[in-house]
Amino acid sequence: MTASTAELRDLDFELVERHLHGDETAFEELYEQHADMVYNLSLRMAGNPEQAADWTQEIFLRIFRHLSKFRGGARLSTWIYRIALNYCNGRLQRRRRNHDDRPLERLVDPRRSPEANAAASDTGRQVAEALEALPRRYREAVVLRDLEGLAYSEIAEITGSRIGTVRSRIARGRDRLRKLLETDTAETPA
Amino acid sequence: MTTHASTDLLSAYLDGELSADDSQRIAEHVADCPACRADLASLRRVIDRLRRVERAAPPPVLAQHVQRRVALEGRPQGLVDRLENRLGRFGGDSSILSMLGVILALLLFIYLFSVGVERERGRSETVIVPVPDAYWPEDAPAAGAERPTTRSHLAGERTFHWSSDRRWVEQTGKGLTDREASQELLWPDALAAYPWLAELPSGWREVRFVEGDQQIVVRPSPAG
Repeated sequence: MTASTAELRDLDFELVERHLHGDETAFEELYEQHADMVYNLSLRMAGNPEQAADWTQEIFLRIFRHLSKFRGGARLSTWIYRIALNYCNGRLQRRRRNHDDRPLERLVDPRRSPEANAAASDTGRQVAEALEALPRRYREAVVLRDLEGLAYSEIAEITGSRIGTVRSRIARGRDRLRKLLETDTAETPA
Repeated sequence: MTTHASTDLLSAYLDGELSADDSQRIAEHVADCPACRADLASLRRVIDRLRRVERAAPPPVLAQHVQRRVALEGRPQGLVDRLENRLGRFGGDSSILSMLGVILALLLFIYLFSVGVERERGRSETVIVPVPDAYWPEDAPAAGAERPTTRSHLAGERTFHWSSDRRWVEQTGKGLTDREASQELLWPDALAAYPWLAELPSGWREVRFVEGDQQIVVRPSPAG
């Protein structure tokens, strides 16, 4: 049985309350529940695993510092997404200002077998490179929708945009990706 | 529907984010229009491809790093603790530690110097500066519409604030609460990154503004 939104909010609130009352295991639970989400968002925005790990660490430190300000108006995951996305965007802006556009590394998971990595990295690398070519606003919209699986309303809440703007950014992002990925496929020898 | 369906509509249709009526209209149109059918199929392919990308598991050691930093953060910290916290992330590499030590000392010197300079100032004024179109975010209101203005406080004890679109927070007092996030830009790099600085009236001492989660601090060239 799936928990209702109200039940999930209660669980979020309980977790935060435990943390605020000094229960050290509460933040560990929060990390366990959201590490995958924060790491994958960072990975898609940063484009390489090393930076994604570094960004994830910084994002959780920010979450820890500001958790007392969580008021339960939104789901905890939405609140965390917002912190994570703001952090990623700040780093990307700084990277662009410093002209630090390092080439993308292959998104390889060292714990998988070489064969599994070879199969996965092809799709992963092409998509990562195509995402890197998108304007930041389009990239974040597409990542949140197609890689994180969020609804338009959640994306609007996270990015502070109207649903119409979210819809348009997703469509434009996908349209550009379509051109990039179809060109990529066409250029790949059979 | 007589014209072709837009990518916006087709994309939202695939996501099930249209109203029942709009969704029905798109379905009927696509059934009769080969061009839109092809467009829809191509969009569906790209979405499928995105969704096939495997999720990556965070490195297991990351949990330990986060817990360690959180543990250090969680207790009252003196300067030594903060340094230990910051430097500990690099695993004790002596060359990096030395370099960071020098950087931290330099930053401390700059901070103390700026506090000293601020104390010397007695002047206070407010200046309204228009922001050129090129520096507005893409979703800012169009020129001529109700745009927020940029308000700057050049002050002795007060910090220079920069507030523009809704994403930027107008800071008060000494600026950002999270000083670790601040970044100082030196002339002429600052001018290259933010050409609107050239439009500030002469005599300004310092600009602080917030971009993303970074506080940017700029001071004019020594020549002025």
